[in-house]
Amino acid sequence: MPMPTLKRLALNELHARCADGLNLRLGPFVMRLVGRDRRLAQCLYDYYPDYPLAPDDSFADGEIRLLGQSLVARVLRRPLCLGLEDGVPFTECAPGALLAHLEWAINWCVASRAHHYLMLHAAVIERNGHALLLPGQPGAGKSTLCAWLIHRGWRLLSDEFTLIRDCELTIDPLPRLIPLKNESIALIREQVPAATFGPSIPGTRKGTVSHLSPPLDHLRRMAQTARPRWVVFPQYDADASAEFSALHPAECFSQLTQNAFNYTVLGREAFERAGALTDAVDAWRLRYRNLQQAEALLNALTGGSQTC
Amino acid sequence: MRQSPAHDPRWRADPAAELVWQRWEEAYFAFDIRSGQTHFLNQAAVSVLAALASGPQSLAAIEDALLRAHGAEPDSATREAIADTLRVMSSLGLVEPMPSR
Repeated sequence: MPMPTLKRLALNELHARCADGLNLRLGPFVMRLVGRDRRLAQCLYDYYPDYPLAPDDSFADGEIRLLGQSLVARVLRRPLCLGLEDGVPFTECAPGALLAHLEWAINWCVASRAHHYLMLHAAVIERNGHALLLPGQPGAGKSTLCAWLIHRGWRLLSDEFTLIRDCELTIDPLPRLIPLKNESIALIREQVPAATFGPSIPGTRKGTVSHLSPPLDHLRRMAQTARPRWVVFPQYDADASAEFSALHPAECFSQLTQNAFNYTVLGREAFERAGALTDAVDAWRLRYRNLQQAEALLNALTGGSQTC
Repeated sequence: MRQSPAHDPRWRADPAAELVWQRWEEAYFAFDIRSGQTHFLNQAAVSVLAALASGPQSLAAIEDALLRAHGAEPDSATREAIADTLRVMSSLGLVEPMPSR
């Protein structure tokens, strides 16, 4: 039976629940969101309506609090402040940037705590049970490519974290809002008119950010795991012709370990899991200059052309 | 007069190093459980470790072992390359010079 989602709560009810703490399920994690400020409830109401609620007595993997503001601070439009369980301020933001900072706070909780996973900094999408990992440094275009492909027959597992649970290389989905940046926002808006976006948030440390909502069906399937089949290191290059080049396993292994959030924390376990992952996948480097070109090459590689 | 290890080059695999291996063709990765470091090793470095598996060896003995293994003839460049490899591996904590007697 599917869990109730956040949208079953009216805004007033959501506001009341947030005051005591609201448990939201994000893939394998539960995040507890706390704050009496109505702007937290409004943010959740607007951008997380299809995420499942977790029971109030669930263990929370992280707690994020929107710290209270005095009336004077509100009138003077002082920055909002997010904190973690201990109440210590974690990040400050303008009211219009609350969504971006909430997402970053969630990222921080996952990256710094979920060490039962090998966590790779990689987008990961799935088709027919086979996962395609897209690791990439900032600017490589992985989020943009991921945003495109999840509207072309692939299911979003995660835009940011590839969570490898065990030696069987089970990948747990963590389908979150996809933070597109700068030119990518207009590009995906144009190419995927049906896509749902959050507000454009200018002036962040990554420029202008706007969050793309995952397709509803991908959220409903957030408990369906997948196995890795391909690793493709994308690199957007407006001036290059599109090309795939096979990556030697040693290079793949080296890149994967460098892309892991917690390689040094896990030590031998990460070394062995990354080795098993390298053995399990075909690894490629992809240079592309537009999304359709990248999609065609990826379809040729993965033997599919299904779109939805 | 006591000689420095550099002048009396007998080497041994670091007895405290605990290595776990991954290999793809001639690319080797060794994870050192003790240090938590991952090392990318080429065939030469792995051959040096193999030569030291039976116990401490001089540079000349290591060179002989490698030349035998690869069916090659000795030359000064090979010896220098092995000496360089030993120095790098020593800095990584994989081998160490034996104290001179």
